[in-house]
Amino acid sequence: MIKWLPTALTFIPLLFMFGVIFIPNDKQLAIKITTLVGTGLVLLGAIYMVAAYDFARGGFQMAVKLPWISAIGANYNMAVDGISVPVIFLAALLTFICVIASWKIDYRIKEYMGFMLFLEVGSIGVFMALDFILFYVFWEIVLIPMYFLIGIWGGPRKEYAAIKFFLYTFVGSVFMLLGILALYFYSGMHTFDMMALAKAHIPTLVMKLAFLGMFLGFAVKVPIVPFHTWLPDAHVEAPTAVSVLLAGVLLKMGSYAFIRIGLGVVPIGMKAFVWLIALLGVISIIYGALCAMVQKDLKKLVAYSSVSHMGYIMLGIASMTAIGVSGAVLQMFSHGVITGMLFLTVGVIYERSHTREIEKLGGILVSMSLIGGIWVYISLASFGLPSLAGFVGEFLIIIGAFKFSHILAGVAALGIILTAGYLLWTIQRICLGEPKTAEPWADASPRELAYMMPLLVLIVVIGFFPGVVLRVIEPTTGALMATVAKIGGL
Amino acid sequence: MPLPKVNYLFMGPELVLTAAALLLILIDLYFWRGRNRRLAVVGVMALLAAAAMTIPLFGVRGTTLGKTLVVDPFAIFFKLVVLAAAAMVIVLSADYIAKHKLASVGEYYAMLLFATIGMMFMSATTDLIMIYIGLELTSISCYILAGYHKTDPKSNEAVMKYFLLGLIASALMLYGFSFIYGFTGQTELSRIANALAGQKDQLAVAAGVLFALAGFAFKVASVPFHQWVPDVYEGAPTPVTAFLSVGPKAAAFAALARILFIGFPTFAGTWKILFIFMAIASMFIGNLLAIPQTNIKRMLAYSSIAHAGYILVGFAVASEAAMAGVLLYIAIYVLINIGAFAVVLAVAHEPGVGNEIADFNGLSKRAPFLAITMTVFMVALAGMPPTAGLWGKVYIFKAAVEKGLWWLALLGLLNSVISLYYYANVTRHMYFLEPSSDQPLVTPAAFKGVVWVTVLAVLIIGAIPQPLVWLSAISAKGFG
Repeated sequence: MIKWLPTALTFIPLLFMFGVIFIPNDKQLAIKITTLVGTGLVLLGAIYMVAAYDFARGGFQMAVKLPWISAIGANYNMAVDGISVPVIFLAALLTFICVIASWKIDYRIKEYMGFMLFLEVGSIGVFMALDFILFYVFWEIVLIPMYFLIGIWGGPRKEYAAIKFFLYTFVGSVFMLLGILALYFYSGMHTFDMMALAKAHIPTLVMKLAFLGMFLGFAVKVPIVPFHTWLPDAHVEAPTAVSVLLAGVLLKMGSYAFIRIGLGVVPIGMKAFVWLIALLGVISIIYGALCAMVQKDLKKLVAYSSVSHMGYIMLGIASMTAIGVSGAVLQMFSHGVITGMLFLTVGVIYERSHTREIEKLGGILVSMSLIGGIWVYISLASFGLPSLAGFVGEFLIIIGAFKFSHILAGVAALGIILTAGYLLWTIQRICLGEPKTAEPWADASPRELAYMMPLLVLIVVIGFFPGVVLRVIEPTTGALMATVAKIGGL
Repeated sequence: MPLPKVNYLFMGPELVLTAAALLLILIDLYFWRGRNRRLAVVGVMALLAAAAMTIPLFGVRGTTLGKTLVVDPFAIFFKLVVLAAAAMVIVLSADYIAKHKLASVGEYYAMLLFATIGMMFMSATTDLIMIYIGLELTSISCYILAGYHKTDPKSNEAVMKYFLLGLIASALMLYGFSFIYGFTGQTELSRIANALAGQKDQLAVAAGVLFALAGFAFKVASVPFHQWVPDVYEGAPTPVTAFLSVGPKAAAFAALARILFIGFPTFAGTWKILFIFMAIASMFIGNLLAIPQTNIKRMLAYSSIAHAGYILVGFAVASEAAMAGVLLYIAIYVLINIGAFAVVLAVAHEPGVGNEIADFNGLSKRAPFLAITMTVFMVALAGMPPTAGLWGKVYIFKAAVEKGLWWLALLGLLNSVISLYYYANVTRHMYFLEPSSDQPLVTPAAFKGVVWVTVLAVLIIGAIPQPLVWLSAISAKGFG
């Protein structure tokens, strides 16, 4: 029965979405509780999945394969491995936390919760789909709720941000679809099964072109500079919880796809562009950090820091070494937790101060000592202070990158200094000094502390015991990179 | 000359519809004068009866009426599509007629049935004369239907444009047919193909084919014969617009497929270039001109030009897989478009509300059901999951990549991106903008019913496309 767990996790939110639709508009509490129960069930399921996944054995587990559209060879093919399990857990956890963090929303609550649940369908399913068509469906499903979540509950320029996000990602996925079709046809196997296509004999040129198409789709999602311009807009306009999910889960879809499809299915095609990816990754690190440094808006700063951190993940993947990829997966997890926390804290600060302008903030440690303390703590985690979550992933990535290119690894390591620079400077500007407003700000409420606590604990647990997560990741990445090496990708 | 033997079973559906159409005119005249809803029920019953007689013919292959009427899965597929479309349009018409107090109700429903018969003939014949007769029966009925707002100048202008341009298109087509007949001495498509086999100089036939193609391009609303579309779609009564956007289009594509694959396989290269040109031009012009539209009917008109372009990609590829994709695409497009027009009708049902996109402002607050279903239809038209709209596109573009036309598939996919902009704009109006009044929108049950049926179909086919994919694959067998 355990093999149905991925299916259950994907479609439980859909069931609860229909539940929410049929609750009358004015029963706000019922709507919120239904959503909370739905996402809570998914989280429990995800925890059970982590426990049930036999990481010593590694590889794909809980696999289900049913014929879906036999005329074109698409199957309902779901399974999880050491790369997807951590990300699924992250997605389930962040969605659950975001529902609690959205508790105070009272504007069109039914639609909001409905879209949150719909978003979870796509963002969980995409990490389990092992069939290209199924993957594409989940990949695209995510766009629709996200478009509405930004467009209805966003800030002043929400419509612009929503449609920009929608169009950018849709353009990317169109190229991805074309790449998928090219693989499908030139394999001559009449199947969309990723693992079957990974073994297919496809002309090298086709693999390269197919990867290039898919690269555009993934790169917009990650996003890698220069495909990143939608991200700051979307983040600044999106409401807090949506920003958390965008940074914590949606961006991971891009980097996950690079590993699952780039390394897993078309390593030969990816090999041809690996320099480009690594270079763009390093450019993202430096450019994102420099942009973050000059931002006046606290949320935009976090958004650019996200671009910078995703650059490390891309560098780790592009290194095409087991250690680099393991570091990338770990970093995906840590980045989701840390950046999620950063956005949550920005949201709390904004709720009190009604501004995100760094200049107008100050002395948070004095006015809200708990929130200020939390901000300092996660900033330290974000720039990779040893013993906190951000460190291990980046360290592994840079080791992996060092094997690939000394120069790029060196530049990436220098990026950490920039990161520390802008984050410490931000701490100085917003946390230290005297408060700039006379009115007192309420410190973190029990509800806020409650939903932040799991993430805060995770940050230190991963920092001290990265082995907990790496034990899940490493057998899979090791086997994956061994296969890649055998195919001749290296 | 003895009369040809008639297999009444094969033409039963058409006979039922003919009888029902005549009956509708008579009972409207003598018994139920202007009893709009009763007449509509008769029309729907007739269509359902015709569908019930058509379904058992699926899988049968044969001819009747001296080989002018063909029964094969291809024909049955199209017949069922147009029957379903016509039935839903009649359901949508009743409330519209009641609201606008349109006169001559019996003839209205009769004309819809006559047009349906014409479309059924078009999809079920391999004879040029029969194709022409079917086409004219459809066209003339549609001219009348498009002008049903007799006192509205916009409607009059639309119908005049439609009528005159339509006549020219028909004349062009007939002129082309005369070339083909003059050169081969045949009107039956397979005999034409035999007569052409081995002939060297085929310039005159090529000219004939070109003229015929121009006529069809008009009927399917493809560039460069698309100028009539927005005006007619805007001016015609909305249920008729819904009908025009799916029915005649589907039937014309069916007839075009027969002419291409049975009559002129040797011209495949020439066809291909023309179709590629028409497909690209229709997609780009349709989608780009849809963006600035402020009237939802005009927007959907340009969108329908673009969709003709996607379907023509399938014709340009011209493999059996591509034709299966075309059938799938048409069936799905019919469902989506009728659903979308049902929402348009529901929104405009309020007194004093027109068909501007601005009339959709804040619909999510006034009519959440209509807003969410319209979103599904818009997402489906853009070809995104989790709707059926994805599969039509995937299937056609997959066939294009298979035949090495990957660049055409890329252009098609890029066009989906362009189209997403104006489809998303409708959702923007419904969800992001404030309504002009807070009153909940009252929607007639008939509109809601059609919306339910189409939205469920679009979502269920979106999740489980296999049955429809299978049907269209069987129906397209032998084409390509």
